[in-house]
Amino acid sequence: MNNYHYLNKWKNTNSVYTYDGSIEGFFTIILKCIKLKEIPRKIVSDVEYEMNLLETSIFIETNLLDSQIIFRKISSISDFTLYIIFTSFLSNYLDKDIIILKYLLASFKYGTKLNKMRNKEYVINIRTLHQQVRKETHRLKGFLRFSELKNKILYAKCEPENNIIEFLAEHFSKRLAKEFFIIHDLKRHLLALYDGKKIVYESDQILSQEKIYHLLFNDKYEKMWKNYFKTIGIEERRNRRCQLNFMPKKFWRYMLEVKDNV
Amino acid sequence: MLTNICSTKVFFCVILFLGDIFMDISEKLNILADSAKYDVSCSSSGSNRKNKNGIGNASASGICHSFASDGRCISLLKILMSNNCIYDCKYCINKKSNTIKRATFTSEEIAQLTINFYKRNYIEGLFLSSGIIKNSDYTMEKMYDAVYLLRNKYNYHGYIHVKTIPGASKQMINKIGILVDRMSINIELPSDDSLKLLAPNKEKNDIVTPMRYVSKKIKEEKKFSQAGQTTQMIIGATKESDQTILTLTENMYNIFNLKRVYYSAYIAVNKDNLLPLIKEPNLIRENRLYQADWLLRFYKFKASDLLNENNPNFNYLIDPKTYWALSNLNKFPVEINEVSYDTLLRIPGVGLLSAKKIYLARKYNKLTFDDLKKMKVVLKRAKYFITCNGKYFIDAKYFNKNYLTKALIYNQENPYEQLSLFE
Repeated sequence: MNNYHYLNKWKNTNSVYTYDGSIEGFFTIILKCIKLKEIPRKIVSDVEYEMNLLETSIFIETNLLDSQIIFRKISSISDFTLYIIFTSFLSNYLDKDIIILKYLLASFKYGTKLNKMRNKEYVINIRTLHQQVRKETHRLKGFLRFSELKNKILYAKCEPENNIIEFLAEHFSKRLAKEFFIIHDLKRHLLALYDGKKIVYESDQILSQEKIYHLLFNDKYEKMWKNYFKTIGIEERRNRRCQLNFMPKKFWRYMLEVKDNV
Repeated sequence: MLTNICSTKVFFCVILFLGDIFMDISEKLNILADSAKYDVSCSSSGSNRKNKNGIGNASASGICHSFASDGRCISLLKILMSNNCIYDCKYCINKKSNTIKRATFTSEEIAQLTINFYKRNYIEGLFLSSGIIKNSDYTMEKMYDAVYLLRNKYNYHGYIHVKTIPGASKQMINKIGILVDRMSINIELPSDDSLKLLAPNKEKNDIVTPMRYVSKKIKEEKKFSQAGQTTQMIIGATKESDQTILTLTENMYNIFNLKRVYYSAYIAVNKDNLLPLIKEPNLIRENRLYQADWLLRFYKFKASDLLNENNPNFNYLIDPKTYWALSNLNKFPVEINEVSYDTLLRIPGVGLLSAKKIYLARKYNKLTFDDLKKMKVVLKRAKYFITCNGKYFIDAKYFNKNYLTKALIYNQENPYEQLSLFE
């Protein structure tokens, strides 16, 4: 059973394309590949790309009109296809671009019923990316911790592997609709700012950690939560392995109730 | 002399009384969280409450905010309103005759804790239970005050789970049910006789009548306890078999339409002649019961499929589904590419997700063992019970109960076995 039957008509080339990291830039490259009927060796965001003497990379400028064409083509397949592509794009997996490209090309041929062909390798691959992004989002919705600052702003830190800050900000803007909050992605130096009305994204250069430090105070609820956490575990059922399985240590750093046990 | 003793007694009573009032909220939280931790239910799913100009919403799938040292999910602020109690149930840490620190929250304290923990994203919501003060309705009225405060003064739209106090009246249930997302009442023990033995104050009807009434209200009204009703029972404090427990579970799902039945492995917090001398909670048995519970709810099994008079208890070495398959080998092996979805669900090692994958993919391609591996269908047990395009994975002569039983027991990773070797 040859999984790449359709794609065998396309040329596998040695090209390495780089782009600005945006999804519009990625879609621009996809349109180019469709026109040339080629599957390049690598597609990499120029932020991630490491210059290599053995290969020449070509930087593709983002073209919004081109990207619109691709966006409309995907939308006409189905909502689910659009959804799975957008979430997979947020993944930090290095080869995500080629995986999404192959899935996309197959989607143009098979339509939305491609998503039911769960044994096809490119369906399995993109679903894996999609699941990784969704899993981390769901976990962080639970594990993110806000500190209340002296000026009543809620401030939370995280280091997500995938680029999911938008999902988190949307979720909390509905839940804490009347609060002011800041979600800080330390890995990408990105802030999500919410003022009770709308969400704005900024680089974290506008924030000084010193100022944050001065706005922290001895919050009695933090102490109570830590004590609550210790109290609630039943000694006779102690199971560290199970705890770590559900709550991996990489999250512990920004969770006040466990950060001292890292 | 007499007047001196009287006045000293009065003096101490006043001190104790004042001490209770002036107890710090932190200390109350420690006492009342400790008293509530044996109620294992922690789910925050099933409600799609939206925020309306206030704080909070509910996520339909529920969200786990942390995991305790025992591996259990922490999703809600689980507290008693008060650990004072007029009952003396033998297994309960809060029973009247125990000498422990007692405390009671005010409604305002409960609301403040909930809102502030919620804001900081420590919790999805509140789980409020209580010991019985004076009588059931009096206790529920106090709990109602706290819930009312949260919904109306603080405009809180997050998740609330409230315990129905045994003996609660219809009027009380009516009032509180429209404000909360879930209600639960514990049947405590798996039979009437056991209940009479260990919790003589709790009449069976005090539990079943409110349970029945809550089910009725949930069916009739849309916004009434929309995440349903659940219950809990202690496993291992009394001598019922797994068959009794599972049949009871099945009946409760069918009759009362419960969302979940929770099992709590007995832990000896008290000493009593009527209580068993168990050192550690029987977690294997609890796990088998939960596995069977899943088979009832998602895999279309009946309790009588899994256990009967000749076989009333679960096997500790083999999970219930695999044991059923070995006892029904005439139904296997099944052809992956042909059988119905319901039959796919009966394959040991094949869960809901794997069954779905197979069901969808095989419409477009005939699946092989390689395909199944790539699709991440776990074949460790499943491979013994299936054929792909007519082929068994080894010589057909091995398909017999003897060989399969040995293979399944000795090849599987039993985490409990490992623990006993290295303990």
